[in-house]
Amino acid sequence: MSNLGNISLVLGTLLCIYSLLSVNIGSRMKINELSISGRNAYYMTSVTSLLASVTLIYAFVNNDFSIKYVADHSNTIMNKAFVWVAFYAGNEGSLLYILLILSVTSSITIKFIPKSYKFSSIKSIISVFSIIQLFYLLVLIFGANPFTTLQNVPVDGRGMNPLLTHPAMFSHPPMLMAGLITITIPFTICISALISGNFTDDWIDTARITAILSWGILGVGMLIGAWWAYTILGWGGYWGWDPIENVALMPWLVMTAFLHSIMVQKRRKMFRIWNIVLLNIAFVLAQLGMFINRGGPVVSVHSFASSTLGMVFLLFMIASIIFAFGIFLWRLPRLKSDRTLESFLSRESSLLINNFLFITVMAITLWGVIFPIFSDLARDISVTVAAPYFNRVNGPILLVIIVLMGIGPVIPWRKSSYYQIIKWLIFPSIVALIIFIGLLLIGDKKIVAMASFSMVGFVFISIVQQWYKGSYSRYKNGEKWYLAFFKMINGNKPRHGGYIVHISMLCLALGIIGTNFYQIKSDVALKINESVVIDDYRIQYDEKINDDRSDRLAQWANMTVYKIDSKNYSEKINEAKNKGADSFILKKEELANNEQIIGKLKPWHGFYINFNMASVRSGIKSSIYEDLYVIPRDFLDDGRVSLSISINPLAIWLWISGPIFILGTMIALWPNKKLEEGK
Amino acid sequence: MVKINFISLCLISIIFFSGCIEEDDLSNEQKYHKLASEIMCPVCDAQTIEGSNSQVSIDMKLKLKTLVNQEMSSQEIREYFIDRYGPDIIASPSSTGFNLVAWIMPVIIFSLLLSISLYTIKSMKNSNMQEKEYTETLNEYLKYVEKEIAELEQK
Repeated sequence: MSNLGNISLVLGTLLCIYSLLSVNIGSRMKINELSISGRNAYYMTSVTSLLASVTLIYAFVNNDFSIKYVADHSNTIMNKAFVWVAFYAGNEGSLLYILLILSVTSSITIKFIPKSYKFSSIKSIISVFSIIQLFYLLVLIFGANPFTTLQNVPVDGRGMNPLLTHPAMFSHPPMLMAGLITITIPFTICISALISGNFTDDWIDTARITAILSWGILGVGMLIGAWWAYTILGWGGYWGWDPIENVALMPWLVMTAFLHSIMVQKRRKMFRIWNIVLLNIAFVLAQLGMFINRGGPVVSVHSFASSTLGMVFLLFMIASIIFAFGIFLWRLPRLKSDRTLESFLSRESSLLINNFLFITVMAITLWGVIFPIFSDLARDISVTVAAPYFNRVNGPILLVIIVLMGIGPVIPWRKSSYYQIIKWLIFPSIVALIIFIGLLLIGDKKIVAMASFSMVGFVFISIVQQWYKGSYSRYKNGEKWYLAFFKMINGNKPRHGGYIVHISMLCLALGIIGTNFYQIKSDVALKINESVVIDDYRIQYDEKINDDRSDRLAQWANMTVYKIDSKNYSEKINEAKNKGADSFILKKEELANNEQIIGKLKPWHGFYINFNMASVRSGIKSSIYEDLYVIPRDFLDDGRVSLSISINPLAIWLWISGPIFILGTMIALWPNKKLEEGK
Repeated sequence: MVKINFISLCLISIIFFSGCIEEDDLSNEQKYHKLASEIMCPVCDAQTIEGSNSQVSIDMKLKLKTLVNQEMSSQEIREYFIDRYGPDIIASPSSTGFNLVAWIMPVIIFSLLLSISLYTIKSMKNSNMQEKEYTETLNEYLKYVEKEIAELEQK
């Protein structure tokens, strides 16, 4: 089997070299057939990388432990559904997966490139894709070969990393890797336009569509990762500002900036130079992600793909910087905006401010990632830069970005007046004020959180107001209100899709504010039949169930959750408060009568022998207001279970944002049929 | 330009001040959890003692609980752990000495990028003004030429 895999990789390499040479020679010597054969050879690379991937998957399915990668990442008792996860569970396999995505998506891009593209542009696109693919192929063949065989074939494999045996792992890693590698596509389209000397705006539509796709996939991938981290112990909740998380976030932020500023180029033919710079930065940051993920100099909880290839990826990153910015500087004198800014009060300049804020968050995050290295080199003292730092420095800027989400879209293109803008903002501001005062009246004292909630309300009302005004005229003409609404959305899909994405960001913000400012945590140890009371909940520990399997020793802590009336326990609550605690334990005989059951929780704690690693899964009872979150840390010798319990207000809104984000992205992407027919 | 400066000044001050607000009205239990998520586990990769189940973390958490119950301030507790485990035991750099760079740099990045974008807006606007002026003069000149031609034709 391993031979077939190796042959596919070598074949892929040869095809890449052939296509690189033939499109260039073909176009120089004006031999059309040669160029076309080069393009077809490029298409074939997706077949060879698919063949290599299928070979590896086949080896997993058949437990072919003669292949080292298979033996390292699976065993005979592994559920076959997890073969897909095992495929990219380690460094070599994930690189092969990346190659597969790159070759397939780039081939599709070339195939569907608009007919208006000159072959000179397509030639450059194929060349750049070939070079990037060639890099991955060579790394796979010489540095991280997934088809390396073992001389002594083991009877059984080591099994998969227990952290990966989770439903989220079917989609989080592949989406994240796909999102990062497909940044290559808009980048290549843009840089190829520069190389081939095409200074029109032909490239921006294709770049925008592919950029939205890669940005959307990366965003959803991060969110699924956050959900996964939320349900297990040890990853600092849904977002821990871990270096590997940061290197995925940074290109996403830059792509977000790009998707905003490309609109300016599309509509007003401005910001040409800046858009190219943004794509260059995003591409380089994606390479930085590769480097940090695969052997970079920082410590992370994500160690799945760590390897000794750090230097190789560092060199590739440096090469990408030189390439991207070299081409850019070479062509800079010929890049110019057609128009200039007419007024500070215009959509154009508000989008420029938006870009500035995104780039600032990105740069500060980058600084946080490299500061420990910097400190180590400068004075040989190691420091840790983690969540508390990032929350403090990025939090306020993210809040300003949210505020701007409410103001920016009401500012018209070209120019405007203060009066015009303020007119749009009066109603949202009143709502924001009402929210603030309302929170004050119910006794909230967290000023920053209150201001943040008000701002979420402000932006939401600002969007709803625009939708209302947009569909009102149709409604007045006798159309049904929902038809009027859909027709308005259909009329400008990129814009309204964008608003829907904004709403998803508001949901995300709700979850972040709720969990960051209002979370209550408590640690207790319970005997069977004892209960812990926290907030309005009583959690009763019913039974412990042993569930030992061949790969793990697991114990389940089955619990019942009751809604309580706090008056019944006022004495106990005061007693706990005086001790500085937010929860207390109740024995069976101390319980009040007739408490309503609101759910059952079944968290578990497992120990994986082969990996000498514990994996802990939480029990969560969600509502739209808050999550009750229980995690069994340990089962003690005296029969108690030690629990970490928390009340996470508004946590579910983090996940509600996901489908809304996908919906908005899809609407923004949906092709405009009428427009094309009109052409 | 006055307006722009005013707006940017407001922006900077909002960001700066909201970054400095530290809300410390917490029960002992919440204070314990907040500190536990600020103290790194010395034997794990990039995990805090809050999230770690290693023996060292369990011991450190017990110690932390005792210190919190002794009503030590958050800063005193941080210093207690720094004395015993070194400065990298705390999840964010201290705001003294060399580490101050870590905190000042974001402010520099923010101000620098803000000035660049405001400068860009200003210069893009100025070139627009110049263009406008240029077209206006051109138009005036063209009018003059047309008038001259008309006069010549009349003659």
